[in-house]
Amino acid sequence: MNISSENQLNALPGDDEVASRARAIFKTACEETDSYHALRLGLARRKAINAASGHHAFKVWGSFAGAAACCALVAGVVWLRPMGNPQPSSSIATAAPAAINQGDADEAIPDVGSSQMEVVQDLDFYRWLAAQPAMASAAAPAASGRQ
Amino acid sequence: MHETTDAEPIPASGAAMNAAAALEAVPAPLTESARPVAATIEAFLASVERRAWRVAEIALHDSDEALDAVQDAMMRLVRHYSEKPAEEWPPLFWGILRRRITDLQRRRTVRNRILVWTGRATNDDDEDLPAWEAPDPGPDPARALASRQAHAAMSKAIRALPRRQQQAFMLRVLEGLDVADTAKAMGCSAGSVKTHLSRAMDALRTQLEEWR
Repeated sequence: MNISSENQLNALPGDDEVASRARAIFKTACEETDSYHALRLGLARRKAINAASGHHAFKVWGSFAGAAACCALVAGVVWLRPMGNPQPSSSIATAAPAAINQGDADEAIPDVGSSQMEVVQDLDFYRWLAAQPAMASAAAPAASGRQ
Repeated sequence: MHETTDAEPIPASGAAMNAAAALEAVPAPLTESARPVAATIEAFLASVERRAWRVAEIALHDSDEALDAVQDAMMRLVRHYSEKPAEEWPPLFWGILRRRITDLQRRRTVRNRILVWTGRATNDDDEDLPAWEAPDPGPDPARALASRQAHAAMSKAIRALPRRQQQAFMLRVLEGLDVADTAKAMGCSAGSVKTHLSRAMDALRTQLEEWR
């Protein structure tokens, strides 16, 4: 005789009977649940399912609303940023088409920094220099010397 | 009522260990793992709701509180664990229900103590009488009455057990969960389940005659 069957014989003379009897009583009681409590259990189950589906719908719609709010916020920031804080690069970009409209691309003077203002101030000199083709090569060192 | 918690080491006597080892061999006619896995969580709840209510009623001795406990367990399971695989629903559901029943029992204990201090306690443990249920229009009223009386006697015997032994007996024997799922539902080890169950069986064996 092995150990487990010995244990079962020595220690559990009536456990099978207790368990099977208890199960039979419990099963009968479950099957004979009166209609009032059976109805209330069904209602409780429906309530649990509906509450959970409502909770799920709230989560879905909440995430949609959050995503829409984020998109609106980003769009608002993108739309308002150039108007409220003009950047030098964007000024150049907007000034260039204006100069093209004047029909003189060579004279398009963008809004430049102070380092380029000297070139602008000497623009008449450079025009005169360009009008002297024969002397251009000789005048160039002189112009650089003036600067 | 003495309750052995999981934090306490359970003194394992030789007889208890032998009984615990042999309890694994107690045949379960239809264990939870042998039941077909429910396709949806609603089908699972429909299949388990009556047994859950009966278990809660045995533990709480109050059908309305038992209904509240079952409904709460259903809602928690659906809300938090409906995405889990269907095989995990039984231990999760019974674990939720066990905690809810324990909460209600503790709340009732506190309420009774307050009532005793204020001198307004009433003895509502009329366990000598069989539980009253609505008249059953079945074909054999005498048999129905006998089964109700047997259920009342069994409920009384189970309620007399310490809480952990009650839980082990109801989950393992009445509901038919296997040892691993019972341990998961009770939040303890498989060894503790076997020990609690063997002690419960020892206590209930002497009362078997009353259930006949």
